[in-house]
Parts: sequence; C-alpha cells; structure tokens
Amino acid sequence: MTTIMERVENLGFLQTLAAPGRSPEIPADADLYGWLVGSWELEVLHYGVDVSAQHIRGEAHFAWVLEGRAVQDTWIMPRRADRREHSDRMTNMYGTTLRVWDPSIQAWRVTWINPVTGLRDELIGRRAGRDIVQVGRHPDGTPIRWIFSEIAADSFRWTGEALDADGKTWKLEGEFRAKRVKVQEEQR
Amino acid sequence: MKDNGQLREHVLYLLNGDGAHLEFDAVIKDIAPKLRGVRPKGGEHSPWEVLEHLRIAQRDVLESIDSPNHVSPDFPSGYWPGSVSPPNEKAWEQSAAAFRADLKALTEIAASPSRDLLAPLPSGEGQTILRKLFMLADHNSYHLGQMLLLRQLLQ
Repeated sequence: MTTIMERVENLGFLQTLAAPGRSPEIPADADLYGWLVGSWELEVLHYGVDVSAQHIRGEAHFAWVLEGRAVQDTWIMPRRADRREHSDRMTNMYGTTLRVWDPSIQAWRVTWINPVTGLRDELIGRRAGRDIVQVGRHPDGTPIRWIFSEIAADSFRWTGEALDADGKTWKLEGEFRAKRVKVQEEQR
Repeated sequence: MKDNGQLREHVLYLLNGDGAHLEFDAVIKDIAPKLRGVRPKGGEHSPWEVLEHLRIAQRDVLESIDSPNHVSPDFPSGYWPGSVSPPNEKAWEQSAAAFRADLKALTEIAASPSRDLLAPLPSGEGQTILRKLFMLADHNSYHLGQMLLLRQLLQ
C-alpha cells in the first residue's frame, strides 16, 4: 500500500523543494540561516502569556529549499506526539517560515504562515552582532521583531516581540528555547 | 504618544537628501570601477572605504534602534573596511544595495506613527530615535560630500 508521503514523493514535490545546500548566488557571509538546517526540540516559555509552567514542547525542522536560495522551516507547537484533534488554538501552530535571500537589499525576506490561526507575517532578516534580527509588521501594522539569540552549535533562543501602542515598549509575544535533535535521535 | 507628524516630515527631508543635502545615488553613480579603490594623492580614503564607512555606520544606527542586544563596532577601526579596494566585482553594488535598504528601513521607522521618535532607547545614555536619525543624516551628508570631492579629484 502506498502511503501519502510516498505519493507526494512520487509527484516530485519534495525532491524539487529540497536542496542539498546553499546556492552559490548567496555569499557565505550572508548565510544567516544555514546553521539551522536539521531538527530541533522546542521548549515553549512564552506564547502570548507565560506558559513555562505548562511544559509545552514543540518541534522545528529546517532545510535549504528552492535550489538553495531559501531556508524553510516547519514550526510546530505542540509537537506532533502531543497534538490532539481539538488542541487549544491559542497555543497551536503548525506553520512554515520561508526565508529568501534578496540580493537587491542584501538581506533576507522572511514570511511566516500559520494556517492553524491564519496568521501571516512579513519581515526582513539581518545579522546584528551575534544575533539574527528580523524586523517587520503584523498584518494590522504593528511593528514586530523576531530574534535568534544565544546561538550555539546545538541550541538557540528565539523571541518574538511586538511594539506597544506607546511606540517605545517592546512586548514579548513568544519565547522558545531550542535544542538540536541529533541524527541518531531523529532516526529512532 | 504624540504623533509628531511634522517632526517626522523634517527628519525624512533630511534622510532623503532633500534641500541642501546630497542624494546617495546621485553621488556614487558615476564613480568608475577602476577608481573605486584609489586614494587620491594626499587623501586618506578611497571611494570604496567611504562607501563602506557609510554603510557600516548606518547599519550601526539601524541595529541600535531595533536590536536589543546591539553592540557597536570598535571605534574607529570597526567602522572602516579592511581593504582600500572592493574585494570583488560585486562588492561595490552589494554595499550600495545594503546602504539603500538600510536607509529605507530607517525612513520607514521615521515615518511610522507607531514609533515614538522621542522615547529613550533601552540602550541607554538618553539617546532617542530622533537623535540617532539626526546624527545619521549629519554623518551621511558629511561623507557624501567627501565622496563627491573624491570623485572630482580622481576623474
């Protein structure tokens, strides 16, 4: 019996989406996201409110796609093992981020879509010291910034903030701590 | 939060190179590739060095506004490129594209009613977005004038 995944692969979709690595069109020093390729466990600390006591776990998977001109992820919360048919929509994401290198601005154009809630955000990503900062707006015009910080070989912190109506205070919307999943663990 | 609408218009006027200020593309467009890495006799900088200095300093301002963990480069060495000439054929245009994009991002901040130009930045020292943008407009204007002079001396 053919599984759904096999059918998709037979159509060639996954093969034509995935790429083995970064396109030579992207300079090495502009590669902000290649280090993310692989799988990550997520610990959800904040999502709208402090949810650290709920011990929500998520997962994220990154790959080079589209002939290596983009890095795409799937960002999932709660993780697949914990998902239920009627999971709380307030803490539910099964979305994707597409990060596309744009040489005309020497930066990355970032699009996040979460079909669970219909949320869609557009940002521009740049390196900022040791961090990677993406700045954009929610669909209602609210300025937002997403930050990869505390970046190490096997871990990072991700925070998402939105500018308050006072025009000066950045309010935390989401905070995740990620730990890389080793290949052997993935295969179990 | 006050709208600061007129104030924003004045800041945008400065940043966009209106009035007595030089406009970025008008200054750099006619600098021939063979001259981009040349220091004129008695001069301390080539057009490439000035272009990169403009880009690096402007990126520093942009990051200082929007990146909470921002650390400025070492002064002065971190604000200048490591070479007199562009390292490759594409470097000049890449640097110019990054400058344009960052300037656009800063003008969007200046124009956005949701940003308080007068609020102290969390990085401290009493700085505000407005002060950063004034300083940047001043800095860009000075070095674009320098670039224009370089262009005339080298041609």
